[in-house]
Amino acid sequence: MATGAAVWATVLFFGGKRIVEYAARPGSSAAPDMYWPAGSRIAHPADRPALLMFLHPKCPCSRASLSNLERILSFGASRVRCTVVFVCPESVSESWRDSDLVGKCRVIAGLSVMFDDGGAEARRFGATTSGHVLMYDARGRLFFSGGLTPARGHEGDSSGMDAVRALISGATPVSVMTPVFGCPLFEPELAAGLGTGAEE
Amino acid sequence: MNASQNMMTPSCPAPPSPEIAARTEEIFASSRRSNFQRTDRFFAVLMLVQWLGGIAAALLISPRTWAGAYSDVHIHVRAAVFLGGAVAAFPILLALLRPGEASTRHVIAVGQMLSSALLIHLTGGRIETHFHVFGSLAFLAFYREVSVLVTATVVVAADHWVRGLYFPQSVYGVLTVDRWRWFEHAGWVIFEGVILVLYCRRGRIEMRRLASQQAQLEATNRIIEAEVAQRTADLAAGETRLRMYAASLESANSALAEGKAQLERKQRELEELNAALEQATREARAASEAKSAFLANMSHEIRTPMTAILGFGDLLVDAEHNASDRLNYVNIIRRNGQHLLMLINDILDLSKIEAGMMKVERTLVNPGRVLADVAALFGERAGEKGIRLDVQLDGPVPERIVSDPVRVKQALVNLVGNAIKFTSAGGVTVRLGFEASRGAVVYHVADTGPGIPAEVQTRLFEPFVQADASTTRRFGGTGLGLTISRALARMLGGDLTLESRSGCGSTFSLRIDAGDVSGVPMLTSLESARAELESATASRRLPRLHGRILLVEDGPDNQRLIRGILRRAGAEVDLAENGADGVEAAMKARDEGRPYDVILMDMQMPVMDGYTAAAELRARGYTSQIVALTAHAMSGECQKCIDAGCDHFLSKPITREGLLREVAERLAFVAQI
Repeated sequence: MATGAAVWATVLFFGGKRIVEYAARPGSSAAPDMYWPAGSRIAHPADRPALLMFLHPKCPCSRASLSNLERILSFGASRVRCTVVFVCPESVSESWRDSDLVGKCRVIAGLSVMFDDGGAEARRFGATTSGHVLMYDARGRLFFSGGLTPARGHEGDSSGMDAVRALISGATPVSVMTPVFGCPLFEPELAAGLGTGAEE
Repeated sequence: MNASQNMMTPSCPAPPSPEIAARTEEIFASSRRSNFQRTDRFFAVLMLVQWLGGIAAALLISPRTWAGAYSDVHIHVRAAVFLGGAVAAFPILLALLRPGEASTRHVIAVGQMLSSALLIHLTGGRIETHFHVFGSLAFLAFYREVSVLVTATVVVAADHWVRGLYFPQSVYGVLTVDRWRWFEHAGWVIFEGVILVLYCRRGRIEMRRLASQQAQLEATNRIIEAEVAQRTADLAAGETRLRMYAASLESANSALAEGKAQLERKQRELEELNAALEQATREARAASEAKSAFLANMSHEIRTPMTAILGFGDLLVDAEHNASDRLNYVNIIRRNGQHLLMLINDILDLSKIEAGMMKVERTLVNPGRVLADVAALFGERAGEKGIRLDVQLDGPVPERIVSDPVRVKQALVNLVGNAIKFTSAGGVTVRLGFEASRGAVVYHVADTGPGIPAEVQTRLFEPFVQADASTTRRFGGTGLGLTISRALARMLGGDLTLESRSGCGSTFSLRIDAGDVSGVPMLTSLESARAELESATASRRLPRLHGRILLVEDGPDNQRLIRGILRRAGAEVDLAENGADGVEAAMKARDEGRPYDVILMDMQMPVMDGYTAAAELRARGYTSQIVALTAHAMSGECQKCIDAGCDHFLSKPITREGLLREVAERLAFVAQI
């Protein structure tokens, strides 16, 4: 009985440790420019701050990021122009544009959706992990860069949410950079070209 | 304490007996053990379902992880399969192998809370999934044991505490949190735990109460069972008594039924006896009436010939009548006298038959000669009536049979006499036959008379009965002939039967047992019998007497009659008036050397009767023949005469032929000496 319990506890401990470590391990990210990239196809709004979220269309972890974004928009959607950019690899089927995640975005009020085929915009903004959020003020200056979830695939309060809420409400955030938890937007060799490494 | 105080004081239940208390604890422990085992099995199923549910959730929520266009199985799927399996396996194993053990339920508590943590993790920390923690605690409360809830709560608290230390953002969403923030999360768990502890305590109290009730119920059941057993035994005893009563009643019923049957039998017997008595009464009344009628008839029958005898006797005295008339008168007197004699003989025969004193002989008889004799006897009478009398053989008949010739002839005379009497035209036929199968000879007497009605035939053979009352007036007779004839036939080993139809004549069949006839020649005609009869008739010429005879008789008429017959036959006759004179005369003659050859001794005389006189003579050494003359025709009379010393006897009335033949035989006997 005692031996069994010990073995059981050991297995559970290391198993739990493994998934906790996985959840707590952030994705890679490149250092973004401090201003809105000039060559971007995404138009910057001049009247208010802009929030960009780059998502992998099939990343299950990004549901939590999108849920947290929805919670943010629920009290301040009019104060910020929010755009979700789905980064689609080249030569994938059209079904990627109709994934569950895309469908969820389309029903959230105050949210614009666009597709970044091939990932040029992502690269331009320095986003390599799904769920990466960039927030710029009305003049195009970067306010915030990071993820909105406390762990990979986990909803709920996080430092990123607190920071974005503060910026939207005009307050000073505690932190302006948070780790991003999500799937890599690019395959490893492509990510390596950006100087980042994808997990999994 | 008064009554009102008693009423005001709430009543406290009496403490349970030690036996019930011990049984309560036993049931409570058993119930807890059953509850533990039952809940263990429940969690074994629940954790299996949870494991499968976790896999399904992982496959639904995060089936694959992506890197650009590249994808692989998500680590959550692997975790759901392997880590979830590991979480559930050990508790399930213990629930199956060691159900009810404390360690099992505590391992289950740990595993269940870790299942909640894993499920929350797999669903991305959704707030809704956290309700699984509270649901698990509620499920664990099924054990109704606080320590299990404590273990579960400790697991939750430890999880939050450890993760708060090493990975706070996975629990609280921020990297830096208050060191007691974990206690806030654990506090809510503890809050529910407190509620569940209260529930568990109440549950345990309820279990103990139920156990107490069950113990009391069992105790009550035992009392009831004992009572039931006692009642059952009482009922069985009662049933046994009832059965015994029933058996007694059945026995009594049987006895009553038997008594009733006996009573009914007695009643039937009484009814039969009454019927028999009534029948006997009727028969006695009928017999009395018949005897009265018979007496009247006898009176008539006797008075009628007596009237003729006396009347014509008076006419004989009258000198005016010539010799021819006088001879006619004498014949009338003789015929009436013979009728009277026949009547008296019938009465005597019937008396003998009814008294069982009628005797029959067994000697050789020629049935053909009897037939010829009777035919000769009635031939003249039939001719006088203008009817024919035929006799014939009906086949070969034994020449000799063993029977009583007198009684056979007597019966046949009755039948033929009746047939001639009742036949006015036609004739009478007598056929003699032999029935070899019965060993009997049969005389069929057939007439062409009026016949006998069927209703009369059944009682025709009863005494004093004739076809009807007018028969006696028309034809005369006593009504005893057929009765006597049937009785004689039966005494002779046969019977007398009748076939008759009214208007068609009658046939009487007289059967006589023939006895042993083996080797006896058979008669084929009646000629030899007739010849034998004629020869016998010829030998019946009256004998002449030669000898001295003393007649001892007190009646002058009989003295005159008997002395006249004997003297006319040639005998020398002396008279004596009574027995004493007779003795003296006999002794005197012997003494004088001239003894009498025969003494005819009347047995009823004054001074000295015949019995005394005969005995006196024998006593004095008198050796000559003494023949008794007696009017008593009974057979006992004969023996009485012999016993007195007589050698033979003659019954009155005495016929001339009978007297002469008897005296001749006595004289011949003397001559032989």
